[in-house]
Amino acid sequence: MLNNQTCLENLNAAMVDLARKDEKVIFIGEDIKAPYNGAYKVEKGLYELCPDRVISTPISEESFTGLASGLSMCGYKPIVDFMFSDFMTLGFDMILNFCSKYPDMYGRELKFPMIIRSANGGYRGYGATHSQSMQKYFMGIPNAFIYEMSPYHDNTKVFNRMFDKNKLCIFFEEKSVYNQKMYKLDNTGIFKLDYIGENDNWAYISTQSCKADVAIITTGGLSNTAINSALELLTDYEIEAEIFIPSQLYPVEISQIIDKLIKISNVVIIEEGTYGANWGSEILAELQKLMNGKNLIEKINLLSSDAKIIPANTKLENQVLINKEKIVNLILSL
Amino acid sequence: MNKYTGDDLLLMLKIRYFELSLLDLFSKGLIKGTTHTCLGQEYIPVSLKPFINEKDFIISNHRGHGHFIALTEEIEGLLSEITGKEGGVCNSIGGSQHLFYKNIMTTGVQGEGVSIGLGHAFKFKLEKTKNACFVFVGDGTFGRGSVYESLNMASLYKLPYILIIENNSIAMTTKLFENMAGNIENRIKSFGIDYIKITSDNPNEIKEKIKEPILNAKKNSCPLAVEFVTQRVSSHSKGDDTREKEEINLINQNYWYNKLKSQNNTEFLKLDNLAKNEIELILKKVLLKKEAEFVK
Repeated sequence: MLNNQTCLENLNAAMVDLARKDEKVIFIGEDIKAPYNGAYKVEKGLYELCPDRVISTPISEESFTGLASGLSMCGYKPIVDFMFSDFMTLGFDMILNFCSKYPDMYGRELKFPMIIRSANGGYRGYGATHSQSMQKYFMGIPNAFIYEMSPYHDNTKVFNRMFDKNKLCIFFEEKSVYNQKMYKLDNTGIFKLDYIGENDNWAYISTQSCKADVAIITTGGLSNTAINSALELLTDYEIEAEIFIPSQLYPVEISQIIDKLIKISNVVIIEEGTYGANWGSEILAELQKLMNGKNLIEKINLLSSDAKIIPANTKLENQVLINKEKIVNLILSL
Repeated sequence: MNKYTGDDLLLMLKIRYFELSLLDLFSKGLIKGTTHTCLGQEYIPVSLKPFINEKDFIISNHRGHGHFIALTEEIEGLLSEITGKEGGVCNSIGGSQHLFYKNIMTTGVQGEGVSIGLGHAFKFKLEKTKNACFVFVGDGTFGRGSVYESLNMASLYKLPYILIIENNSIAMTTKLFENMAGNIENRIKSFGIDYIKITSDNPNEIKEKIKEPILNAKKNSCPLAVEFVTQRVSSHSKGDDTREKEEINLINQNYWYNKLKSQNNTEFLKLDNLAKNEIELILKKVLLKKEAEFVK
């Protein structure tokens, strides 16, 4: 573990590693060639390494998703960069009506390795159309898998895991996570990091005492906020929280952590996306199914951003989006 | 008649009788869903056939039976697919609009194929294989933005990408002049893409005109567009024709089949019977097959 590496450095290293080890990996997106290397520099070094496999495209999201689809059919492994996840709506026909259909629609199982990756989420003052958490709009599609970058999941492993599915995977990268350090918990040493489930899908962050009052299930993008909330709850209110962060968001692999959850009386599911018909409600449904009518968990609460558009003004933006204060207040009210 | 090659005619006739039998099956309630027949346009894929090899890739669309039959001659598999019988080329999951067999694939949503084709053409360029991706679209598809995104990229990246436009001047029930400002030729040329217009319905004449440009696109890796000015003899799908009788009569008069039949040439009538009988035989055989089940 390179503890000083930022998430962006880790992600960039994953891209370089994939490009170097597999000449079928091919990169597609706007402004991804050197010297710009993509809006968030995720593609740094790729153009020098394999110029033929770095396709810098016009602003044509629908058709570059099609270009990638054709290449995937031909045995390539495209990694498609959407500059902002908000723009993934422009590729949605291809995603829903082709990428997710192709593996089954032609009556036999066909391989379709393809990853769409994109900067996602708010807290940066980009405003309503450049700050959304788009995960929920892509959940529930057969043959499409949703992942999110986290400081606790090595991106090379995650990208290899996604390609191994041989189906469309969509990878969300919270903008504010790029500069966070990999594997960093807090400075107090109170928390420890473990993994649960196949492929270490769940990062499990707990205190040394193992007597948690509340379980927080959240995404990689909010991991820092969740840890800071847990720290405040512990130091100011003596409430112990454990945090569960999956790499794969959808399909939800909640059965992998159910044994831990039923030992904790309260579960809070936190996401940055807007209120309603979201990841939390999906987890809730899966939990209900697993509990099979038994009330194994006392309370399950969902917390998300408001059902509002995201203001550009960062002070107002913070009021609409989920934040530490809202998390702490909800948990105190339980 | 003597301007036609017997093999070409036979294939055109088989496509015609295949499509007619589908319309008949629909009217009898033996097929569900939708089907888009290519009556009137049968000669187009037949004319292209000599220039497409097994390493090329073809992406067709909702009106794709003719392309499929001309290029694969897998009639029984296609009919089984559409009638929901065992042995369909896509195990009865794809149906009329979603076919993938050997090197030909079709999609149901207009304007998807144009961009997927970029990927295949990109592979051919990257691997320097001197092949091309052929993408079939109709005039109606020119309403889709992806067409222009894709033409731009095909030209920009110099891809061996051959767009075959079947301009039957009607999109479902809407006439071309009600749908399109300007014209297809100017749109294509504005991307710096070579363009050929074909008004003939005779494969021999057509082959002569398209041979060199297609070979050039493959050899030198560059895009090409071929616009066939054609006509849709049948309705859009089943019974949704809003055209005036006079117009349909005129289209029928111009239909290659009717023109040839009226000449009463014995050789043509022989081929006509041959094709009709072959399709009838395949149809009988397919209808006796078991219903398709999920195949895993």
